[in-house]
Amino acid sequence: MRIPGVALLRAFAHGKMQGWLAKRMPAVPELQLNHKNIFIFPSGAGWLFLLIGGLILIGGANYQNNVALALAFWLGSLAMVGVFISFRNVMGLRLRAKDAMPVFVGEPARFPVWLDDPDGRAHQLLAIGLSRADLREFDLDAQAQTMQELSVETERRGLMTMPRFLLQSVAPFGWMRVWTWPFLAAQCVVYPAPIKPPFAFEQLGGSDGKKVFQQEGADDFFGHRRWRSGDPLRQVDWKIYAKERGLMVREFATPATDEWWFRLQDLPAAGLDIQLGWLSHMLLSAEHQGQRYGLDLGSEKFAPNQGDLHLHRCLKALALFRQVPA
Amino acid sequence: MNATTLLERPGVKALLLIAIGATLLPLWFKVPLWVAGFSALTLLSATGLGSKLPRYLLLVMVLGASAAVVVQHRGLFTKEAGLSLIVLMASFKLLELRANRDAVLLSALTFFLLFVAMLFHRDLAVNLYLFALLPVCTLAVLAMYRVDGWRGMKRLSRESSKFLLLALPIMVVAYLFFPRLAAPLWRLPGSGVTGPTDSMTIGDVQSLALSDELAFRVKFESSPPPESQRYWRGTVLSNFDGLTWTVGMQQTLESFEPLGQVYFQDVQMQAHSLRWLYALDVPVEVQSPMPARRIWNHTLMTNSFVRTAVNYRAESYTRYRLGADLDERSQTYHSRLPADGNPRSRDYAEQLAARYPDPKARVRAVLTEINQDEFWYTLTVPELAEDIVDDFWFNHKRGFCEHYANAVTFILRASGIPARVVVGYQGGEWNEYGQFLTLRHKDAHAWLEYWVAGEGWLRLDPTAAISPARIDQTWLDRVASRDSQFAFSNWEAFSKQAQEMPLFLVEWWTTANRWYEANIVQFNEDTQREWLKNLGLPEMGKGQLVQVLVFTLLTLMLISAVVIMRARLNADPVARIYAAYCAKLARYGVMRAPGETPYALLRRAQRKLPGERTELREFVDYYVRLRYEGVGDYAGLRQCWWKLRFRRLRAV
Repeated sequence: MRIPGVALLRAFAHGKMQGWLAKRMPAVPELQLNHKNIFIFPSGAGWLFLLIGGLILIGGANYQNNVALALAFWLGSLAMVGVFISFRNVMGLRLRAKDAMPVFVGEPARFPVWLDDPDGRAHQLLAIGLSRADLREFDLDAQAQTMQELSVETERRGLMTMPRFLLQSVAPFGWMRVWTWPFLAAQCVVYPAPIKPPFAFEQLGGSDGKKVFQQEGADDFFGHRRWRSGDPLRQVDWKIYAKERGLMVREFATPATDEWWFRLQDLPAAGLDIQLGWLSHMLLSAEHQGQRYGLDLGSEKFAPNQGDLHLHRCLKALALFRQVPA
Repeated sequence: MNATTLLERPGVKALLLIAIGATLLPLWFKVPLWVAGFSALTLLSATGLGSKLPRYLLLVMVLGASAAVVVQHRGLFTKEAGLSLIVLMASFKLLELRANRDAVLLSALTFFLLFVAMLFHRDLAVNLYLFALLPVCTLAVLAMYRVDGWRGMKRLSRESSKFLLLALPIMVVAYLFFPRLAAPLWRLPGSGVTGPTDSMTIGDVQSLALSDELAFRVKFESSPPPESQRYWRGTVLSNFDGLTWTVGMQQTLESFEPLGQVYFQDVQMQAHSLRWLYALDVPVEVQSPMPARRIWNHTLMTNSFVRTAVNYRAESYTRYRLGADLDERSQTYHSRLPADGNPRSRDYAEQLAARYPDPKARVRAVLTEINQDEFWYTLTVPELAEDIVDDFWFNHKRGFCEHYANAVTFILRASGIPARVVVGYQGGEWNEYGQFLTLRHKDAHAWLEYWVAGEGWLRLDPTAAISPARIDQTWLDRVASRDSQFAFSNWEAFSKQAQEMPLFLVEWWTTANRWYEANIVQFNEDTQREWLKNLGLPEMGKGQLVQVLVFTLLTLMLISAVVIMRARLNADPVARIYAAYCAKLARYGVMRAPGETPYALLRRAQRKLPGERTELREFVDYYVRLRYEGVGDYAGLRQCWWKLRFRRLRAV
């Protein structure tokens, strides 16, 4: 049944609720569920059960049937005890989220949520999802932990924070819905979706690239940067390491002929998001073709290089370019 | 959660069908055969047919079955029709197991069916069975909300009984303190309580003689009276209109002089919807929670109908002189007969009076006639002609207590001796284990009293005069109601038939029944008040009772909450001890950081509490070995922990 007023009221209540939740449960890296952040209310099955219990009570009282009264009271107290048992099934859970792997706009961001119980208790039939309509069920065994992926649709580039999600359970009776809306601090970089540019970008990139690096010369030392996993060991500057200043890697700007240089200001006029989409496409193609490529966004510059890490840095720069920090 | 998740979980459907079948079972014996058969059939086919039936077919079946119920019970608004409908609808629901809500509805329905069965079965055996089903129904619910359904059945059933046990204290308090209603708010249509009537028309007692239903139980303060004296006086019928005996007009209180021993009786009376209580013939005193008094003809009269079970105490004498100085008016009142009818009996009575002027000799002559002539005791009585006494006495000579009491009273009155019919119970079954007598409806009896100057009213039981050779044996082992053909609904009768149960078991069972009758079935407003008084609580009205109830319930809920939330029933005991250890350190300002290893924590603790060297280290060593190498056991860890547990940790 759809009554327009109810939908409006619900939307209003939802808005209020979100505001209230934002104050009550702000983003935290780790959340332990307790009486302060768990909500509980009878489910549809719970109301039905209460109705049946009420009927039995009234019938038993009227017909002075003590056995039926005993049944009514037993069911009633089972429901009362069930409130605590249901609550306890969710209480004590610990939730932790990690940053999601970067994705392109339009792909779902998959946030890993780790659940465990510091006391090692088992938790039955938990369900996780973004709303009541989309829930995935799982069990948490005693002494175990589990990872549940929360997939969120992405609509715009930038740094996405993991949205507030729903964790609920109706176990073990189905009479009480116990739920919480955790807000965990986790992020996902959303790259601009690649758009195939309407021009031949190989020429554009190639000619520019040479121009920039002519002054540096072949195998020129370009600078130092901190070591990251995946860097070849021969590039490590061991002298710096010997001075106990950390693992630094020497970077060289190799003015190879197959070096491409993508600059935002050289692109044909179009909307910024379209231009960024072109750049995204260019970066991906260059990486795919095994080219060395650099990126110049005006405010940020990335020297030509190649590899996943370089690609990620460039794409991330595109994602965050002129974004108001959230 | 998908629309069908619940039913797809392993075993959920099977468990639901088992639960619903088991709760329907006792109801099948209370509905017409076709309803029971149909219900059983749907249950069997529900496993295979499931949800394959098209909806319109189901609708047609529902409508058809409802129409059939209306035809069968001549209406829809009777108790029996209601039951048939409930059974049928529950069965139809089995054919419509599609979505989650069907499963939810069915699981709630099992609890409701338990209640319906309790309304229709009041005996202990069935009710024990129904309560035994409660964990099964709970189990079906629990299985619905587990990813692996009924797998791990052992754990599941343990959980089910654990939850029910946790609920038990609250239930007991609510049961004891919940105010009981003095009178029902409404009644089921057409729910007559079976029992004797307050008048006697020939043929009425017949239906009672067939019933094995419990009438009342009696416990004696001293030894029980001899079997020949076990007559239970109900009411006395003094007025005869040619067809029916009724109590008649009130007379002056008859004098009473006890001759023998007094008998104190505690009676557990079932509801019988009449206005008197039964006691050993003749009662002189009664103490009852419902107002009752002894009236002029020494029967126990209540102010209102005995619509619920009642416990009372009566005082009786089996040897007595009653109404020795009966006044003239009462004598003629008890000799009155209708102006005409039964001419042959009147003639016969006059001849008797002429031949035996002494009333006692005349009575003896009548009894001899019954004994010597072809008088039969039987329940299969031919239909009697208009002059019922004549037809019985001279033609058929077959009947049961009613016919004999009726005929002999008529003949004595016609011969000039004041006489009246007494209705009640006779005999009873002695329970050696529980030391009490059980009276059933089949023990209902009618006899008479005749009056002799100087001796007062004398008891006369004409059926006792029938020659034992002429007692129709079939009535003794006739079983009345349909349920007694089934073992569980009339266990006592069944065990007697089977002759296999050891006697002490039967008696033990009867004692259990007596306790159940007294403390469960008959627990009502009065007994509740008694019980509270015995507990030392002041007299409470309904409102106060509710206040006490609410207060106690809230307290118990709080306790349950603490027990459930704090007791870590599933928790790993080793982790629990380690958590307690961490909590103890935290009290001394050493908080465990997230992810901190036991040894890292220990180092910080020892820095802060340099006085503690050995015990902390010992505990952590044991814990780490147990947890990460599997060396040692829980008991050992507990031992290490108990060395620390209640100690003040030393900083110096």
